Amino acid sequence: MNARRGFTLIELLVVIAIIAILIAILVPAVQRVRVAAARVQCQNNLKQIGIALYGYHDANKEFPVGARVDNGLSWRVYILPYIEQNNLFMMFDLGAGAWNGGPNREGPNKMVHALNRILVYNCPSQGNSIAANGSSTLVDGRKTFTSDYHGVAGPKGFNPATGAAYQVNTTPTGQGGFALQGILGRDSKTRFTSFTDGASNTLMVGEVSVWWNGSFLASDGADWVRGVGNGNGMAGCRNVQNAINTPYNGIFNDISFGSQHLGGAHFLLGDGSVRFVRETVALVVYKATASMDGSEVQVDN
Amino acid sequence: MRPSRYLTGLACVGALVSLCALTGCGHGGDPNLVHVNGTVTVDGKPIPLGLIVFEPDPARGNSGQQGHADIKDGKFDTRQSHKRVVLGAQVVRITGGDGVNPEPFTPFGNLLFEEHTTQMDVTKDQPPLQLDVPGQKTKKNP
Repeated sequence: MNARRGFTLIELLVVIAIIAILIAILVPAVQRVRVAAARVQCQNNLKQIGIALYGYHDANKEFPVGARVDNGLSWRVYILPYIEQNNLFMMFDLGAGAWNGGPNREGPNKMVHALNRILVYNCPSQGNSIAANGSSTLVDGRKTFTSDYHGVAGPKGFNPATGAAYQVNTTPTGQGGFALQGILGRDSKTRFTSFTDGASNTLMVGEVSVWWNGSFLASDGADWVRGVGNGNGMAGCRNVQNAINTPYNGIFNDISFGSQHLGGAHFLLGDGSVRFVRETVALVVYKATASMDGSEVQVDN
Repeated sequence: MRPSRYLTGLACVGALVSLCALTGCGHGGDPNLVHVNGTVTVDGKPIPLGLIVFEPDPARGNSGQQGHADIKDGKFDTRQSHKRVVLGAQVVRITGGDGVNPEPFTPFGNLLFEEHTTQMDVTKDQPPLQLDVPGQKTKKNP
């Protein structure tokens, strides 16, 4: 009897087909693990930001300004010492004047510092962390880094508890105005005691990932240093006007919160917890949680 | 012997393929959510590019998820965005632009008007909507 019996072609093909099927089963599983890891990393980033915001509150008896007009900087600059970036923080001159004043936009005090990437400010699911907007590119062509996490400036629209509209500062116009009833907004000064709706019922920071023409852009395209630039565009915080993951409608301050995690976005709440909010949540509930003092009745869902 | 082994292998492959196909997604149907389509014009002319958002109107007792659709050449259909609209009272917000050189931060080109807000009711078997925006307020780009 011949011990060296070979394979037939068909046996070989069947083996290859089975291996192909096994790989087809395995690859999506590996991909799912990667996606889950990115979500956990994103939650952890928000948690770190929450601890930093609370550290700032402990030291200053109030939360940092969301987006400050007189120097154009965002809250992300103010919490740098609390995420172990004190040396970078020391390079900022907080009294250097408005964003567009003189050489301020470029530096030495402002946008040039956004050449430093702060890992905690970017979600790993968002592959691109370069600020896409042309106004965030330095004159010499160097690109700055953006942040995927934005302060919740507050809701816009009708408050069912008071029967009136949520407070919005409409001047200067052109970009959707500035919602006033959130924790981190334009020239905001909130304390823990400002959250009369309850800290665990109020959104503080959320993810932003703009959907445009079939592809995602990093964040809102502005560098992480910027709070308010160009007069009326609020880069550090967002109004809550549309549902999570709504495409960009051309009104900059109303860019919706959103992410590349399937079906919703992560939010840091006023009590320091991090929750995933689904994009199909009732809009009235979403807006109620975006306000810190709207007196709405909260329903969990 | 050999043909039967071949057939068994083929059957295994077939079974796995059909299993993969069968585990595809089905559509959950919420009877309170409907698709809406129609046309949007500004001063009678179709809006080249834009976005229409349907927010259930809390001022008139409605709540639920938001529906939205892209506007292209004056037409919109929520079937394309898969974001269905809740029945009942709605706040409808429309933004639109001339569609010239759309870029990430001017997604509809130059905006033809600031956000237009109107109210309406969405019914079951909603006929196509015909919306007109009074226009000609131009807006600066960011």
